[in-house]
Amino acid sequence: MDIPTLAEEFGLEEQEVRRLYLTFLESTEKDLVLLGQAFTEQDAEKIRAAAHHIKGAAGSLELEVIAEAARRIEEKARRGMIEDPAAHIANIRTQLESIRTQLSSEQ
Amino acid sequence: MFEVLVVDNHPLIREYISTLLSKQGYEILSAEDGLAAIDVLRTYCPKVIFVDLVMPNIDGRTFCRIVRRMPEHAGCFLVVLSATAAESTNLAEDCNANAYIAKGPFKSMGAHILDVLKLAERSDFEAVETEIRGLEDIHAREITKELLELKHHFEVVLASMSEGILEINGAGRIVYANAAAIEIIEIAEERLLSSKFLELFSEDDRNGVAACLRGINDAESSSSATGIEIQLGNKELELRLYPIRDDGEKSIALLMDITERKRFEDQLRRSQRLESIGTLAAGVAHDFNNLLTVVQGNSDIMAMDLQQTHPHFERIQEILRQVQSAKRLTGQLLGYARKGRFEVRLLDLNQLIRETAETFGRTRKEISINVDLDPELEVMEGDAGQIEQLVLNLLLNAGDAMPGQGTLDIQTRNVDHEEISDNVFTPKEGVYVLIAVHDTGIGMDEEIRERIFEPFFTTKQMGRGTGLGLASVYGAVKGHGGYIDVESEIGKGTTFRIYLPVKRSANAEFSAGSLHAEPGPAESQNRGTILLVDDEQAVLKVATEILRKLEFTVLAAASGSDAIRLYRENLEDIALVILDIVMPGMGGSEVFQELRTLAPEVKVLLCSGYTIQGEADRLMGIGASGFIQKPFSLRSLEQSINDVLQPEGS
Repeated sequence: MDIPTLAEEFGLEEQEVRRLYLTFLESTEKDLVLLGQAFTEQDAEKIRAAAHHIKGAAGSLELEVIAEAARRIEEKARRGMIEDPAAHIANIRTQLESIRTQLSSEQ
Repeated sequence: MFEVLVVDNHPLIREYISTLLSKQGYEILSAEDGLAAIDVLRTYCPKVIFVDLVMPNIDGRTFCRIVRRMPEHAGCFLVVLSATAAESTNLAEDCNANAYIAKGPFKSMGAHILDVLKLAERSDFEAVETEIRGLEDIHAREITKELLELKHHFEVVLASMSEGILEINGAGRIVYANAAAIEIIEIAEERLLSSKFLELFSEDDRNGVAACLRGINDAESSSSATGIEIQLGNKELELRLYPIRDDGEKSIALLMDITERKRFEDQLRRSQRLESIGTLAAGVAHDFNNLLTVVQGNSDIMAMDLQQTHPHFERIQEILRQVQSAKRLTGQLLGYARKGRFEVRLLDLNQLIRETAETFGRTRKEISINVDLDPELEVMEGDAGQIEQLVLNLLLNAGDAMPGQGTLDIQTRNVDHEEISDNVFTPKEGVYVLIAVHDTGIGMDEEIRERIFEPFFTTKQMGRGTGLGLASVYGAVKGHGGYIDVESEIGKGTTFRIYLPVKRSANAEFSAGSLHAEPGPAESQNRGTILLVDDEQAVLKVATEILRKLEFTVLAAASGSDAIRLYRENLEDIALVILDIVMPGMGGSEVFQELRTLAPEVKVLLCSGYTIQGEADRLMGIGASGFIQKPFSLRSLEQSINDVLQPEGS
């Protein structure tokens, strides 16, 4: 993760970009919890909404792997198909962990 | 630099835009959805608002619509910032925004945001860009498009419903209202949305609605919602509340305007009550007529036997006069119950009103009477006696409302059924004559107005009013297939409007509106045997005596079966049967049919404490020779017998 370049592209300071990523980590964690709950409740609409939320934010930061995983969950849920999103959630969590590591190493 | 509001439900977007614009020197506030943004706008006046489309509570389109209707934010530069901007239909039309940006990666979105702000800075708020910025940065989003179409479909359905639908969030605030709800509540959408649901209702009703809201959220099933009737301004509403199970404490309120239905129910209840009182009144009148027949018969016989110089002669005359008064009273009761004797003639209503007004005017010289009669008034068909009584009762009533001086306006004119359809009743198609009687008297309140047509209801002092005047007006109007309405205000006077249908039957003969003269006593010539049938022993006894006085031979039968037996035994001798209609066991109609089988030419004079309308009328139609209403005088009985035995022209 190239914070200085991102800062230039976003029109922000480096510190501000870091804070933005931290906000993303925090909100996505919340969305993943919601996603898990929605699956327990077998509520397709809630699954779709949470996945959509993640997809939008990841897209804004061009985090393609997360955006793609979220897109797949969203698409299934939109068709009313409730599949265990555990694998996708794990995948996203790995990505989030990697971002967290990079943020702390670059500080 | 100016103030900017960012409305988006993702914290990342809010943070990015806030940080970006703060660095440029803009003052930034943010809100997580439309509802929160409306709250912000109460105290904050941003020059530019960035708003997302898909948000919980109040969504972006609704929010834009509301902002555009807020005069204090008329100069606001609205920017729609949405991932779904590209796929949305009717976006420009719905949002009426100044610019549109498709959400994409921050690196390009940031530039679009800054460009739009520059545009806002240098142009007035009327500048409108319909082109969506940032489309090149995003991929086609078919999923979102389908979703939006689905959403649009539901919105169309909701907008076309006649029931009002409100969505209420967990904090009790309205976050959605369909078109019908806005129309029912009569509060503009921009004020309705974000307002507190409970505050729609009067303080007295709020607790009830609040309890209902708690109840549905506690209840096990969403189908447990029961409707409550509630007042909203001058409307009666039925309110149903449903919980939204999967979304926190949200609820849906379904509103139905039942004002018209309630009014109709009230009207129906009132007329049902009047009908049942009428039936009771008719029953009482019938029994009284039987009693009066006995009183009158006996008095008649005594008067015949006494010299005019006898000390009791005058007393008997007084009894007979009182019987006549009592007969008028029972007649009014029967008229109210729509069982009044009904003689249909073509009437010159104007002449009838003119004569009645003159008569009334002579008794109340201090009242000035204005008569405005339409010279082109249609000739109507009706019972002259009843209509005259109706007009007189209205005038007397108006006179009583004006104890001192006053003005009485009487008007007639032709009206079309459409002119009277504003009222609670729905008149049958056709032309009506209107009789309007307006007084400048004391007027009456709603409570009295509701009851004025009930028999025995009177506001007058004991002994002054019988409580039958307006009741018989009502009966007469209904009997003629007409309508009546009354408008009144305390201290302002009262207006009665009577609408009588204009219809002509081919065989009705013209009457100038005056009552028919009582036929005078005539010599009876054809004495013979009469079979008298009545279940009331006292009536039977006195009528037998009267007939004997009139030099008839009388066979008396106290029941239908006795009558048949006596008739069969004396078939050759009996010249006439006087037949009571209402009898227990074998009734008058059955007896009549049986007699006709025995002798098709049998002459039957019908007799009843009820009137000719109904059964008697039917029997007249199939060959009965005449009808006499109880109580009858010796003279009128003699006249009726003569009419049957010696018809005119025979």
